[in-house]
Amino acid sequence: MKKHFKKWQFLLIAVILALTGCVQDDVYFSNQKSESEITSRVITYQELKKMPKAIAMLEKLKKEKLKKSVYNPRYDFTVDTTQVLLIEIGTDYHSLTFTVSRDSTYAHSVENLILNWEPYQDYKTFFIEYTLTEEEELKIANGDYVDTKNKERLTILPEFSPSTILKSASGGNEDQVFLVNGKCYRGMWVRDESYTSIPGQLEKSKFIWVYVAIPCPEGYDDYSLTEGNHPRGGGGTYPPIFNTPYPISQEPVSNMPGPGGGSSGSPYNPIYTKPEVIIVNRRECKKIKEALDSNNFRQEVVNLAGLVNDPVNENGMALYSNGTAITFTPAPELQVPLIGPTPMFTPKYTVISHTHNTGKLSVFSYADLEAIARLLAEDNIDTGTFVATVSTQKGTHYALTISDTQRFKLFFNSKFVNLMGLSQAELPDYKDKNKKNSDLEDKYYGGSNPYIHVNNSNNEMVLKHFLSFLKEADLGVSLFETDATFQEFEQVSLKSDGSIQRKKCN
Amino acid sequence: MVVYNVKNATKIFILMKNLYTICLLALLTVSSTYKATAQQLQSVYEGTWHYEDGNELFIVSLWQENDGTFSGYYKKVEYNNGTQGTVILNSRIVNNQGAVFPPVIFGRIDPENYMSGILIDNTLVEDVNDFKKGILRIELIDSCTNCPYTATWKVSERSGLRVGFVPGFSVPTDVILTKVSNTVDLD
Repeated sequence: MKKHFKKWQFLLIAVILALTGCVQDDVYFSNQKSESEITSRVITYQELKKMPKAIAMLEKLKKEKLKKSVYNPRYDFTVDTTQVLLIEIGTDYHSLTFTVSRDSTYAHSVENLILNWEPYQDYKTFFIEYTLTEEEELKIANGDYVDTKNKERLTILPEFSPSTILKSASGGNEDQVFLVNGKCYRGMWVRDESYTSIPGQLEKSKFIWVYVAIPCPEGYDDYSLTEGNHPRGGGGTYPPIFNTPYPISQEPVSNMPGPGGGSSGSPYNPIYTKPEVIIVNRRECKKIKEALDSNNFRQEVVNLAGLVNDPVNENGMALYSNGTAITFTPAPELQVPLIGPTPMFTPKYTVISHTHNTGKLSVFSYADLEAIARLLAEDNIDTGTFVATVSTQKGTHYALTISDTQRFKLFFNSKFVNLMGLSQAELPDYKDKNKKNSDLEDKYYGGSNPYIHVNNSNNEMVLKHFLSFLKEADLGVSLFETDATFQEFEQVSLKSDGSIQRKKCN
Repeated sequence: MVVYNVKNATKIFILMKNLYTICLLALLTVSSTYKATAQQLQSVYEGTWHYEDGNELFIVSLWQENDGTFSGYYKKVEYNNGTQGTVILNSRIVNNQGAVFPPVIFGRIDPENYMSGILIDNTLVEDVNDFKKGILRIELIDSCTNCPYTATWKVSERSGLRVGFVPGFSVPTDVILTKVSNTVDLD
């Protein structure tokens, strides 16, 4: 079957190149459309269900995932269909962009699945990977514009598109070099245009398939060479090379099972998309799961959550990195002991859990965060594993992790700087940071009517203010909401419109 | 028909002008440390405030920053017969390299017209890095006309987890301050 496919592949490449004439260095296969009517919006699963072909394609993908172990590891992901970006150009074109999460370990990239509507009335399936900084991811999640040029890589999922033939031979499709009339070409998806001049459409990117003329690799410009006899042998670590003798096919492209498949004969169409980010930080989710799984500490946290109605005292527990669990002495304001150095091994806090009893805040207090900073300054915390939890009498349960240690240290600068060693030149910076710190504490937690107040019984509103504080302080922490069972966690963050975004930990 | 004596009118005008100037100067003098009956200073919290406790004098210096917030220091000195003596504690700590500890009082005027903020108690323990924060509230007291300004000074513990906790503060936590000057002397 594969052999048969390869035959088709050679023929198809030749036909494509023949039809496009190869008169330019870049050979475009695109079907330009009006760009003036581009609209985009996020649709829900209910709306998605009204697109039967899209659902069918997703179902196909779902089935394929079951075969991932034997078929292709690239399908080891989950597609989120609850929020889907729909981009439309008039009534003729649309694309659906889905966020994708991996089952595998955390990797710092954003991946999206795209179903691109083709003129022959069906979808092609693409996979796009963005390499972004955490700050850029947050910006995107907040609806801010990030130029992703040179940070994206678009690939087709061949098994779900008629273009399979071009992609199936080696798997490393973009690496294939095509030799035509002694010239070498490499096919790739490139960003065709960035619509930065269209108000409201700044973030969109369009991709088209382009054959770019490249310098032929040494030894590969011999017209007589074929796949089977090129100097370095086929396959291996070298880019596969296919010598195409430029045959003129008598068969219309539209009838071929390649990129031009279908009724229109249009080989490839532009793809309109923009990055959709799953804001949930899988690394931090994993941190929580592993910390609470350790030594069955989750049960201790659950038990602790049952003490929130204590009329006088806060209660708390901690888990050391060596697996030892300790209980703090209950007190109206809980004291966390510093772990002193020991000759052999000094454990660190992996989890610190405490309650806010009657009359306390529904979120972490400022002093809670400052205490964590102090512990970090005393080397009592490893931010790579540390989790803080709070359960409150107001019915809320949160977990907090430090996702960016540098930002956390920067905000609590005074905890990490030796004041007596400061020079006069260093003082203004220290002073500025100190002032920002105190001003924000006063703004959110101080005064007669602070944003975050024990008398505010609207937990959602307090959470918004707390998230706003975290954002303004640029604290580098991740906050997760859970319930008294501490089994499922949702990362909570603030969108640019002030609403709360919740994303489940997988 | 009324005929004005121009010479007398001029004299009266000059006399009134002088009287006005004298009154204005007097008013300004009084308002510098005392309440004025019809004039409210823009930032009455700015200046030097005292609290006398036996042989000790607690001194608070406050000033307004460009962004409208207030900054300040506190110190405590020995006090005998109206004379300030040895400094007992001073939040304006200068390190060996001549760098001065940044202001320890951060405040802003609350919508209810008192000053709320944060106090950094850097004189509670020996290690200046190990300062302790408290919630500060300074609120003017309505009292008699032409009296010195007075204000409540309250410092309270913050709620939350505590690490290396030292109870209490090195400063008074619930006293009445009296304003003694509109200027600040940090020495």
